[in-house]
This record gives sequence, C-alpha cells and structure tokens, in this order.
Amino acid sequence: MDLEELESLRKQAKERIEKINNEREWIDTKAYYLGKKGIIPSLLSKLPKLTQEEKKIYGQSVNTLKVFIEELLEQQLKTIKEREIEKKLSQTTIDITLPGKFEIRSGTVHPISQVIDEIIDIFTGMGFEVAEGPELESDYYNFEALNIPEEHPAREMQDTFYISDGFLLRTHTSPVQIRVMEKREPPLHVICPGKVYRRDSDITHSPMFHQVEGFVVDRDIHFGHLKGVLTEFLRRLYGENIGVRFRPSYFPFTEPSAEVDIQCVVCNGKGCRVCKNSGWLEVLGCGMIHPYLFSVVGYDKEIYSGFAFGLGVERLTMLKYAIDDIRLFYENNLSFLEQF
Amino acid sequence: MKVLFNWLKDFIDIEENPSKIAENLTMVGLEIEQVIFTKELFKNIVIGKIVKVEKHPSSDKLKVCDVSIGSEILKIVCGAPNVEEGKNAVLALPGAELQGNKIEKVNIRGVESNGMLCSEKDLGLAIYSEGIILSNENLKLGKPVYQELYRDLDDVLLEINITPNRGDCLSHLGIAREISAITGKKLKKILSKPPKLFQQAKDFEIIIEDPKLCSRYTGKLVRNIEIKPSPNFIKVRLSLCGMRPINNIVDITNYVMLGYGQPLHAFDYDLITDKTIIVRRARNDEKTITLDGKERILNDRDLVIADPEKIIALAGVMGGANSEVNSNTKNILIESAYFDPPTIRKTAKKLNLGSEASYRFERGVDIGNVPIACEIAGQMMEEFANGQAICGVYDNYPLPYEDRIIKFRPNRCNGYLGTKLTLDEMEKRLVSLQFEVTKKRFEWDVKTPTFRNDISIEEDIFEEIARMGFYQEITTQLPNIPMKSREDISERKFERILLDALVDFGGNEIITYSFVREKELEKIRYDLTNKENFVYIQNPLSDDKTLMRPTLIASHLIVAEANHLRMNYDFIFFERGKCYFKLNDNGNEYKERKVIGLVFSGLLRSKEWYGQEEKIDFFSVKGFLEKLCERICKKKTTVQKIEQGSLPFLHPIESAYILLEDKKIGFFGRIHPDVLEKWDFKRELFVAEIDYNLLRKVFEKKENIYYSISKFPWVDRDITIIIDDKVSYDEVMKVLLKNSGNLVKQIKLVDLYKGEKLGENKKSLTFKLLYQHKDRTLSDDEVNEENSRIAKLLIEHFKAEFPK
Repeated sequence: MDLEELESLRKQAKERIEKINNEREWIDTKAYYLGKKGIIPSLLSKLPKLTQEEKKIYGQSVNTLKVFIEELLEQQLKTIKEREIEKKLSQTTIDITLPGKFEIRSGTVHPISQVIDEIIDIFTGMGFEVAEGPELESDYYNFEALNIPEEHPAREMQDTFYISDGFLLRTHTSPVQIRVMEKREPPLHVICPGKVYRRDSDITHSPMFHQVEGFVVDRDIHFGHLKGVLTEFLRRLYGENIGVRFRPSYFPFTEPSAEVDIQCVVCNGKGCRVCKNSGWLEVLGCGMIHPYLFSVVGYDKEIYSGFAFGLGVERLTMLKYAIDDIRLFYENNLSFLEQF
Repeated sequence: MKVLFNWLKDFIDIEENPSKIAENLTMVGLEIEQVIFTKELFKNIVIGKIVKVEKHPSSDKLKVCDVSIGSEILKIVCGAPNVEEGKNAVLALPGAELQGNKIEKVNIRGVESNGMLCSEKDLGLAIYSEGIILSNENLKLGKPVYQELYRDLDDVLLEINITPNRGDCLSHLGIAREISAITGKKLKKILSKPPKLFQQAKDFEIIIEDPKLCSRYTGKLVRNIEIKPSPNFIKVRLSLCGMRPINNIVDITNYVMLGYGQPLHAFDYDLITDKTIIVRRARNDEKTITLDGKERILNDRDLVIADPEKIIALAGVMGGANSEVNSNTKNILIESAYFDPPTIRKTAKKLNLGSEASYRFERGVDIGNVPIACEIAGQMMEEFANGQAICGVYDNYPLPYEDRIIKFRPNRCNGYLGTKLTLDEMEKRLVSLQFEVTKKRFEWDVKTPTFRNDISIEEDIFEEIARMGFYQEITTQLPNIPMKSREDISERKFERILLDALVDFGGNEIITYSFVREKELEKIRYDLTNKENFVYIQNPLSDDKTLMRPTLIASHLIVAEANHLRMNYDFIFFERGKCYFKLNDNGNEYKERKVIGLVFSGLLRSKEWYGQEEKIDFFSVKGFLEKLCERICKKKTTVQKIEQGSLPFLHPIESAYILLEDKKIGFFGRIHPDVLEKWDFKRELFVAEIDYNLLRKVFEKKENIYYSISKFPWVDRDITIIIDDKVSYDEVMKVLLKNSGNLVKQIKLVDLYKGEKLGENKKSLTFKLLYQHKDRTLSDDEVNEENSRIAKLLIEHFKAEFPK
C-alpha cells in the first residue's frame, strides 16, 4: 500500500518540480518535500511503527524517493538560473558598432625623427656608437680642420650663417668627426646625427636641416669596407634588392670621394621626373678620410685609415614618403604630423 | 658647365653615342645632370620665303607678309623695319618656343598672324638685332632652321656638374681629355706648332709687380681688326653654352675660354697709356669703374691690371670701362694670364662679381696653356675679324711652374682601395690621364700634368686610378666592429623612454627652426635686456634681426597660431630642441641647452557620444607633466610659484615651476593675457619647458628596488575637514604624510568643495586613506582609531573643523 503511495508521490513530485519557474517557488517546493514538516520527513516518521522487514524495504524506498527529489530540485535550480540569465541577456541590447571609448590620446613622432631613429638603429645594430657635437661651431672645426681653408672654392658649396668672428652655425655634421678623433684613439665606429644650417631656402632647401655623419677609423680599413657598410645600410633602409652605385666625386675632407646613388625608388630605375630620367637618386656622400684630417688629430696615416660618410635626413625622408616640399617638415601642420 | 658634343669632336674623335659618353663621364666623377638634344629647343622654327609684303590695315609700323614654307603660304604680321619681299627668313610657327616665350596664333590689330619672323636676338644669337634675319642663300623652304641656316643648332648639350677641385674640366678641351682617358682615343693636335714665345715685345710692355699673385702673363697684339658680328657657328655655340654673343672680338675671347679653359681679356690697345701694362695690387681706397658701369672701391688685397695712369681691369674678374673694346676699336691687346686663385676669389666675392672668368681663375687654370690660348685667340681674330696678329706671344713668366712629382706605392694603393689591380693596369690608367710615370720597385714617381693642380698627395693618385675603373672593381666587404660602450646605450635608452612617453600621452612631435626673430621674442614679452647673452646671426636670410633662440616658446606659439589658422585647434605639441646662449663677450664660448618644449591647445577630450568635452586647463597640463616625470623617473614632482615677472610670457597666477627632487627642472602655465593680445589664437594656450639634461640626471639615478607586497587585505577610510581657503593642498598633504604612520599606504584627495554653506574663505577637503598591514589583517577598531587620530591631528594643526 505504502509503496504504491510512494510511486504516485514520485510522479507527482516530478511533475511539480519540473513546473517550477523561479527561485521563490523552488524554495517553497523544496520545503514542501524536504523541509522539517515536509513530505519526506513525515513519511520517515512512520518508520518506527513498522516491522523489521517492512522497515528495511520501506526505508529504502523513501530514501530513494528523497534522493530522486533532491536531484530533481538541483537540476531544476540550474535550469531556472540558466533561464534567468538567458532572459536577462535577451533583454539587454548594445550597438557594438558604436565608437569605442577607451580614453587615450595617441601622438606621433615627427617623420624626420623617425628616419633618424631608423638610421641610428641600423648603425647601432652594426656596432656603431652615437656621438653628438655643438651646433654653434668654430670656423676651425667646421672648415679648417676639414681641409677647407679660408679661400677654398668648396666654401661656396656651403653658404654659412655666422654668429661671430670665427664662429658659425655648423654647415654639416663633419666637425664631430674631428672632435671625436681628437679625444679618442682608434678603433672608432661612430655616427653623429644632428641639425645643420645653410643659407638657402626653397622647396628642396631649408636653412636648417638634419644630417647623419658616420665614420670608421681602424687599421687596414679600405674603400671596400666603405662600400660594404653603406651598401648594407641602404639595403636595410630600402630593402634587400635596392640597386646601389658609387661614383667618384669630391669633398675636401675625403680622398678618394664618392657619391652614392640608389636606384630610383619611384620608378625602380626606369627613369622618371623625380630622378630626372637617370634612374638613380643621389642619397649620400662619402669617401676615405683625407690624410690631412689625420694630421690634424695626430693619427699616423701609415698605421690607420678610415672612411666617412654624410647623409641628408630630409632627402631620405622625402624619398621615403614621396614628400615634395621640404618646408612641410617645419610648418608642423597637425594634419601633416598625424600622417606619420 | 655646358658642353656641346660636336664641339668636343673638334678635340677628339668620338665613336660612342652621347648617352654612353654621358654615363661614362658620370662614372669617372663628372656628373652629367642633363643631356639635351638642342634641336628640340628649336622645334617649329623653319625657313620661309617672304613672297609679299603689305601695309597692316590699322597700323603704320606693322606689315602683313605672305610667307611661303613650301607646302603653304602663311599670313604673318611683322614689325621689323627690314622686312623685304623675295628674301628668305626664319619663321617661328605656333608651338615654337623662343627664349621661353611660346609662339601662338595671334590676332594683331584685326589681322591673324600664323607665327613670327625671327631676329637673331629672338633666337638668342645676339644681344641686339636691328631687324629680322634675312638671307639670299638658296634655302629649302619649310626646313627646320637647324638644318638650313644654323646647322650648329643641331647638337647635343651635356650639362655637367663639375666639382670645385676640377678646374681643368671647365672647358671642352678638359672634357675631351677625360673622354680620351676613358676611351683611349688620342686628343687631336690643337695647334700645328707651338707659338713662338718672346720675353720682350716691341709694341707694348708688361710689368708684374708681385709674381706670387700673377706668375704668368702673356699678351698678343692684333692690329686693324674689324668689329662685327661673329660667324654663325661661334654665335650658336656660345649661345647654346649659355653665353650671349656680343661681337666678334668679345665672342672669340669667350669661345677660347669655353673651348680651352683659359679666360682671356681683350683690351683696346689704343686706350692703354704708354702701351704699358702693370699687374699690381690696388691701393687702398683706389676706385675704378668696371665694364658694368659701376664704381668699385678697392684695397691692397685686390689685384688689378693698370697702365701708368689708371686701372684698366680687375685682374681675372672684370674689365674696366676705360679700355673696353668698342665700335671704334682698331687694335687689340689680348691678355692671357695665370692669377693667384685665392686672390681672385676674394675680390670676386667681396665685390659680388662672380663671372665665368673668375670662376675659372678661382679654380686654377692650366699655366702651361696660357700662351697657347693667347695664340689661338690671335689666330681667330685674324680669321674672323680680319686683323693682323703680330707673330708669336709675349710671355712674362716670372715664377715658372715647378713639376710636381708624387711618390706612389702601388701596393698601398691596392690596400687602400681594397683592389687587386696589376701594376700594368695602374700605369695604363695614369698614362691615359697624362701623368708621367717613372716605375721603381716599390715606389713610383708620378709627375702630374700642368692642368691637374688638384693632385698633390698619394691618395689623390689612388682616386685617379680608382675612378678610371668606375669604382666598380672595389669589392664590398664589412669591417670587424667591436661592441660599443655602455654610456652610449644609456643615452639612447633615455631618448626612447622619453619619446615613447610623450607620444603615449598624446603629444605630436614637431621640429621648428632653431632661430627666431627678435620681434617674435618681443611678441612673447621675452626679456631682451640681456642681449649680450643672445647668439645673433650676423647674416640672416631676412632683414629682421635674427638670433638662435633662448627659448622654444616663441617658435611654438608660431606653430600654434599657424595651426589655429588652418583650423587645427586641439593638440599637444612637443619638441626636443635646443636653446642657445653666448657665455662671454668675445663670442668664442657658447652654451647649448637641450629642452623639451610643449604647447597645449584646445580640448583635452572632445565631445563624444558617451560624454562631454573637456578643455585643457592648468591642471591637465600639470597632470601631463607629473605623469611624464613619474613614468620616466618613478618620482613625484612638486611645484613652486614663479616670482613676479621672471617669466613674463606666463600667466601670473596659472603658472608654476616644476621640481623633481627639490630641483627646478622646468616651468609651465597659461599664456599671459598681454601676450595673447599680440597673436591670433583661436583657443586657450598653455606652454611648458623642461630641461632635458636635468630630467635625464634624475632618470639615471632612478633606483627601482622591489618591496614585498602584503598578502593581507586593505581597508580605506575618509577624512573630511573644513579649513581656511588659504591653506594649500600641499601644506595639508605634508602634515598628513608626516603623521600618517606605517599603516597608511596611500593618501588621495577625493573631494574639494567651496560654497556658501561653509562660510567665506573656507573649503572642505576629503582625503581617502588606505590602510594595510604587511603581516596581518587589520581590525576595524584598529583602523578607526588610527584614522580618527590622524583626523584630529589635522584639525588641531590647521585649526580646522569637522563637517557638521
């Protein structure tokens, strides 16, 4: 009799529990079955009146029912919770395409600085160190010590700003070469980035611009090393396949001297307006350090030799970004700066 | 330097085409900038026959001509006085370009003109023409002018960038010599035999006072010349090379200069007093009038050509008006000389009188060629000016050229260049360049030719050998480079951290000129009383007084203003630049101070869909700088009030010095209202400047020592006090920090309130204090007790109150 009642209770409980919709109902239901005065305890309270045999069977059955109800309740609670979350989620909506609002301004580095940094990275990567020198320079370091005496026609190549008798705004970064060599002994592998000044102003000339000077002094340095280092540099800057050409030129502080051309980056050497149809673009000047400079700093030219080079950062930058007016660099228009 | 291909062929046979020659010249160091096929410049200019001339219906001076170009007859309006029926003329058709002017079909007073009849001036072949070109020759109508009348116009022009050391290449002969060295073809003989040289002349005398300034002076007399236009080939060649044809005598001197590299001067022999030429230094303040009609004041560093009475030329620079060749000139004295290059350069530069002649003298002409050029000019004057040249050349040569012999070690040459050239190859290259080589076992004697005054040391010879191989046989190789120093790495590290921080905080880097105009400093009320500390530029680009900037502020306001004009209003600009100062009156000691300059404008945050806009104000600038220093140096900054008037461009209240480790490292603030008035800003502006090296010093001292992190929970408590408004946050904070004890980990101001409720001159400050023990969990009682201790202490110290 009692066992049948248990079976119908089981069915009833299953039906009832599965209908539960919220936590409130669930708590009530749990109390109804499992609470102190609930159905299961009341069933168990009948146990003492039964025989040993009956006790065993009945007790077991009630217990099974209890476990069944407990599991069912657990299961249903999970379901309710899931339903609730689902419901909540279905109620909230956002437009994920709205602009984000993580509030950080992000600035930019001036294109000239970027290229200088890139050049420095390449050379320091090869083992060069960085040196700096004054922009307010003496005639001696800027010209005399570099084998450009007072009446040398090469002075015309560099129209100079003067600040006093014998002092000027350096016209190139080459004086740093002398300053470093004066202070130190070879081996030297140095680059010197910095601002330089010439009295010139148009769309390709700025009265202030940037150069990176570099030089190496050691035993047994030869022209082939110069070609090696600069070819490597240009390949790292413009890519593995860039064509590089060295051709003879003249600087008072190098002998032999060379100018270095790269294959035109605009037309790939086919000839265009930028390269004046030559297929080549001049990017830097270089040469073996003139023995006169060694005599100035007291190096023995029979022991040491070296090479030096100088490159114009603005020109490289203009080529890199196809900028056609040098003045843009110094106007500092926000719309320009933000492009880099 | 412009050279003509056909003119080069007067000196050497050339088999290669012009572009090959151009490429090879570039590769030996004579950079070809342009190759121009000159007939392209004379397109659509043809021979026409004037078949009919009529009066222009509405002009007395103009004529209307029928001009036949063979295939058709064109109506041309012409104003030339000499237009004549039946003659051949040069007709520029629409599409032609004459000296930069495009020819088009035009309507001239009601008559359509289909082109223009040309004068020599129109073609650039004369500086003055009385009328159009007319010819009776039998010419093919309609043919281009460069095929019929002026065949020399069909040439190839090479524009060569000659480096300052290669004075020897400033002539067709010089370029031909280089081509000869490249191709191996011998140069043609210039003269069938060398001129006879005389040490004394019958008809004139030359005295050289200072042989150091003029080591050779030759002269040649040509009598009974006839001044007239030069033959066409001379006119055309000079014109294509950029010189204006004037008359046969002047043209011949120029022709010889462009051909042989030797500048010449032609004096009117009859205007030379006593037929005596004196090469001497000018006297101080001596005056003369040059060919261009200008009076020149000289000094004893200038070299002049004079006769016993007067200066007749500035040596090597410009002739004098008083001895100029003119239409009445009958007899010519040709001057061909070698002048001291620095002396010529000084005079030309001082008088701002650069000329083709001085350009060559400055770079050194070929002293061996001086009499030859003189002789050639004389011969040409016989031929083209019907003159009678007096036989030979008078040669005053007080300081003869000394052969230059350079020791050359072939082994060292290969070692220096990184090549493996054979001895024979080296010798061959040197000989092709006209060096004389005496071979010895390890060391050769190399004698330089007279025209190569740029060669003076062994390394110069290395270059000669290398360039003849186009630098191509030098193999590329990387040298061994040892590791670099630590010092260098630290500097780079600071650079990077600084730049990253500035950009991460929203700064856009700018680069501005290092110079500033004095009036721009005035515009920021900069203190200009200590001018002796400023670095003025003696020769600025503009007339304005310009100096190397003592501050970045002016430059940055210029950039801000320009951006406002372009409607860029919201920005934080920064620059890593230098300020410049003079340290003493002698102007031989200077200081360059590197600073970080900043300018803030407009909005910190613009209006967004989720929030309101926020303007940049004093505290956002302060916050920017605090966070910058904290990020770079891991240290807190403090501020200090700026003394009245010491930075006059800053707002008197909204400005401050910024300090790190109690040392001023810079300043910041709003722009002073008086400064704003002088500019055209559209938004509020703040500026800042921080000393680069002071910041770097603190950065380098930075010690980051790890402290152990407590595992126990923290709790926070607020303290609110009402306090006199004059008491600064900083003062309260100092007391708090001093007395807060070990348990307080952090103190933060979370509220500031002023209002009527509190009463006048009062404010309420709320601080949030964070408590944490490193070894245990704090109890509520313990924290409450500590918090009220601190609160009471504040109340007592500042005579403050708790809120009611």
